Amino acid sequence: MKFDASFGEAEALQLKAAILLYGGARGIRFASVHEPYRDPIGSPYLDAGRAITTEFLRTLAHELGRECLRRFFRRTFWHEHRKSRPGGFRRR
Amino acid sequence: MAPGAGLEIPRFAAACLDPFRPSASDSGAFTLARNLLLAGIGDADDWRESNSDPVSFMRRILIKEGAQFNKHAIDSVAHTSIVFGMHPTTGGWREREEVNPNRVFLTVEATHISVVYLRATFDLLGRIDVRLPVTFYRMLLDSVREWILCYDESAAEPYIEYRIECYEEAKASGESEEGLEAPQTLEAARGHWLAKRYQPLSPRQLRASVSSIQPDSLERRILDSTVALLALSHNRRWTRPEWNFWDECFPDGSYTIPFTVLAFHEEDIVCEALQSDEEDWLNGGEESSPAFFTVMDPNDISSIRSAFEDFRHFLSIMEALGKLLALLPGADLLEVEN
Repeated sequence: MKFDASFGEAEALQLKAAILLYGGARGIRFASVHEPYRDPIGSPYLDAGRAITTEFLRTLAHELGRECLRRFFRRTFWHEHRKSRPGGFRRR
Repeated sequence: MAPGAGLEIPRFAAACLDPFRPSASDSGAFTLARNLLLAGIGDADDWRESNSDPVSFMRRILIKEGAQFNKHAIDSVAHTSIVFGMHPTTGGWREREEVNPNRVFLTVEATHISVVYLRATFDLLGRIDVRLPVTFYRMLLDSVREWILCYDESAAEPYIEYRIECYEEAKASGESEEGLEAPQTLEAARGHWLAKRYQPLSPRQLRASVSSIQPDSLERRILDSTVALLALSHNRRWTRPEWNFWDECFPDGSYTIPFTVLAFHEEDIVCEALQSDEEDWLNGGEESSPAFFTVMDPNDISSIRSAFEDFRHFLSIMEALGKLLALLPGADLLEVEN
């Protein structure tokens, strides 16, 4: 038996990692992922980073999942739709 | 370039690692959590252990409910995915505006299902009394009818009709009978123990027959478990929702994976029908709907209580069926390919 629960977007979130992007004039050249480190004697800081791999990006895309895609597509297609909407359908 | 001997490590605010909930994301989750507590499902310790997070709390009480039952026995019937939430299926997903906030589901879907070939059990029981196999079979079907979705001879009927039609059409078109394979009949699949001449024993006759069997024998344990399963299934009624409600809840669900297959032998028409249906289901690319679900109104404590009572009763029947299947010769587990 496997158990799961969901309730819309009600699940609590927590900082899991930060992605740092490095680049020059021609765009992003390198990215690293850092996990937050809870310092027992001070404020939290970002731990040493790891270079981002394709596998990491694939997992990230999978976990962001359909909710992210939905938002992306809704925005993209809505704008596309508006752009190509024939003038005859404009509301007076 | 940064000035100085080295870069200072940037620091976060002290509370940045604490869990948080985006504003306007509650959507009734706290109301449900409160009403679960008021309904006596979960307690203050569960809430504390869940860090006051309603979704963790829901997950925690679901695991706690499941822990009251024999997991091994339930897994003998089917490996299941149990989901508690506003989305009625494991992989299900809806637009926010399509979600009804007054409906929370407890759904159960199978990821592995069992298959049992009953002929071996019929042979075992038939040697004691020729009427025991049909009595056992009727009790088994009656026990699972309401609560546990099984693939049995009745599910195979449309396929059998289709096979007969194909066979008749081919014959009518002039194909030689030697080249045609006649579909197996249900009577042939059932075997002689379920022939019409053997009528089921009455409850009094059954009690007398069972009491004459040695208490620790396999036959006696099978019959005792079947009688216990039947009694348990009659303790609470569950009415499968009407088709229109089913359609409303699972508009994309075109098939349902059963928990177990009740066949007669490995090459019978029930297995053949299942194989054909399975190909249709899995190649169709459609969503499945759960084999068991209950719905509750998160604002109504009695509705929550009733849904959980149904859920517990369902698990208790799965457990009792699992204990019975573990005794039957010829039970196996199949993986569902998704």
